Amino acid sequence: MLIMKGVSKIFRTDLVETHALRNVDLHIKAGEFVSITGPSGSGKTTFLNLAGLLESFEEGDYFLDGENVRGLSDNALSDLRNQKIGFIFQSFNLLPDLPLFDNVDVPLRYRGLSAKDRKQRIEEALELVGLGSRMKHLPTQLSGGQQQRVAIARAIAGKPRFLLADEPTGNLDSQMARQVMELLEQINQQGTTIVMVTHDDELARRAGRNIQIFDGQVSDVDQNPSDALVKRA
Amino acid sequence: MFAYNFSLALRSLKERPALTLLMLLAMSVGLGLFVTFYTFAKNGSDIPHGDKASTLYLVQMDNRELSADKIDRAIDMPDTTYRDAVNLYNLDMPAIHQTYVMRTWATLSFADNEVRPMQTRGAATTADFFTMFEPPFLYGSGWQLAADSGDSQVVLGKTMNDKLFGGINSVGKRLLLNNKPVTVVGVLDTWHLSWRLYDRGYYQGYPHDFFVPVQYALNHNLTRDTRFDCWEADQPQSSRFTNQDLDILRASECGWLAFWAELPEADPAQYQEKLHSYINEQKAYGRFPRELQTYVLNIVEQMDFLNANYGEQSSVIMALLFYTVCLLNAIGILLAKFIRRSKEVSVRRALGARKSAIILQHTLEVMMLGLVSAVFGLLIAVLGLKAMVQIRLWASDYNARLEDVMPYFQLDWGLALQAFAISVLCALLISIYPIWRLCSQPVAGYLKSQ
Ligand SMILES: Nc1ncnc2c1ncn2[C@@H]1O[C@H](COP(=O)(O)OP(=O)(O)OP(=O)(O)O)[C@@H](O)[C@H]1O
Ligand SMILES: [Mg+2]
Repeated sequence: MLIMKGVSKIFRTDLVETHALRNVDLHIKAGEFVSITGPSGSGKTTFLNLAGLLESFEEGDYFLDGENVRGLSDNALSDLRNQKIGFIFQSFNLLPDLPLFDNVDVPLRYRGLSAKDRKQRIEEALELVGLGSRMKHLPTQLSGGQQQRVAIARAIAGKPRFLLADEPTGNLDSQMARQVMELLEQINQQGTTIVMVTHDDELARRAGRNIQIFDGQVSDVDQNPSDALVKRA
Repeated sequence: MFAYNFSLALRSLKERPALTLLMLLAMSVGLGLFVTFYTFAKNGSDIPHGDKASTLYLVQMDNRELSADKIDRAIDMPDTTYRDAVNLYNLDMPAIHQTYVMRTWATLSFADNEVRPMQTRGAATTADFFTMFEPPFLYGSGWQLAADSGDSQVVLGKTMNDKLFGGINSVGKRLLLNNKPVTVVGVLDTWHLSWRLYDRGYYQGYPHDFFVPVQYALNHNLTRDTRFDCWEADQPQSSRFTNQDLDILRASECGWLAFWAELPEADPAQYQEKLHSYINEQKAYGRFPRELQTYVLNIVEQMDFLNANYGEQSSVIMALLFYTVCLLNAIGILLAKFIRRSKEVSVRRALGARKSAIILQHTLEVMMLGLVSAVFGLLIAVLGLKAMVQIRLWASDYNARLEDVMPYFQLDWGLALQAFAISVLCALLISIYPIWRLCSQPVAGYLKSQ
């Protein structure tokens, strides 16, 4: 599970302070499929980065699987990212010089798995996203949707407990988006907790639970529907 | 983990070949020139005569007239007069051996004219010279003490023996020296001296081709190829002393011989004391009008002075500065190369790479760069040294011989190994900042950009 208590994030530059997240209280249970929606610039990616331990935060506490991550060393955070979290980035972030196989291999390498184990997981993951036959291709030789699926394969190859997806369907047509959504649902059914940022209301509704972010503030639609409605009005 | 990072490092070396090549160029040219100049400076500053360097002392005394200019340094002192050389040699001085050396040249040939006559450099000295300075003998030895009386005997240098006798053992064979027969008693092996001090010639790369007894040289009026430090009154005549007026020269106050003493337990004080009492006795004859000024300096002390004043440190420092500039350039290129990789590093960090893994990956890369540039650098050094040999020969108007010049430009294998260490170390040094930059960027820093 994933628990945030009073978490705030402020981006400071020389000129301005941006309160990207304000006093976020949140509890996501193991096995949930949560969608996050909100206007552009509202703090969705920031929230996901924080949840994925890519970004530090100023205030509050964040418990990942019961462990308070505040004050953990850089190495401990790296290991947590490596072992518990799968990340699907808004812009795939594949390594362009590496074939698909090696791209999916990256997180497994840092986990120090055996070559045999890694090979099996990579093939499984690529098979699952339907790219089992293209392992030797470079990312640039794939379509956008295929690249997104490689990114998903990379995120799930390590069998993480949490899958954080930032607009995994943002670059895809609706047909492809539905396919990816089905893939995520399949992964969720196998027990992985998923938090997905999306602009697509239809996809958001398909998730078990929808959280909205406005101007850095989180409102849980399913738990506080009236509150959300008030804000929307 | 290591293997993985090693393969990543290899891959990123190949990834931007132009930048990699540019870095290699900067690092290897800098290193190559540094090794070139350092080799030259080091070879040229070696202390000659090995273990004996600390026991062989040049004896110098100021016999000049009152009006002569003051002297502050041993190197500016006049040479020793014939009178003093012979006196000291025959006196019971507290020395193991003593000798004196005169520079000369002569024509070597054969009666049957089979070999073209060769004009060549030589030294006239005494039998003890060979005991003191220990030149390596290929065949035979120096002449016996008795031959110091002026026997027609000669010791040949290796090059001359090669040219005259085709390198065979020529001991006992005869040849003509200035058309007069002499017998070979010894043949030297290659005798490389970084500086030729024994005749106070201070030459680098011009070894003597033959050695004869001083008395022989004087009896047969061999050219006295030296400077005569005379009193004012004798000065006008001094130009004649090279091959005339030997008797006047012998009686004069002109210094022209290098006088050496091998001292027990390297203790010059006792010797110098005795030298001073000799000089004070001589004052009774109206000689040594000036205040006592003598130097008894061994070869190590002389080399310290030469290296400090006539060494090649400045060119080494220049080369070092150039290397530094090259390395600074390399930092810039490395930074450019690494900054392009910011996004990849961000992705790897996000996927769970520890900082140490990133450091390892990039450290391995620069270490490989260091190793490869050491290889190229040494290649450049070898070529550079070859070029310097040619320059040296050309600068000598081809008077110097290749085999005599070569030793100054010989790459030392110990130094070559050190060059590897230096190169890798420098590569690590210049990578500190670029790698630090990569590691200190926020993990999420470059994940958004497409
Ligand atoms: N590194 C940063 N430095 C400064 N400000 C930042 C940084 N990252 C995000 N912000 C600011 O924080 C706020 C939230 O940004 P965030 O990327 O989380 O928005 P978002 O909800 O993901 O938007 P979008 O839907 O367009 O992706 C924005 O105002 C943004 O300008
Ligand atoms: Mg975003």
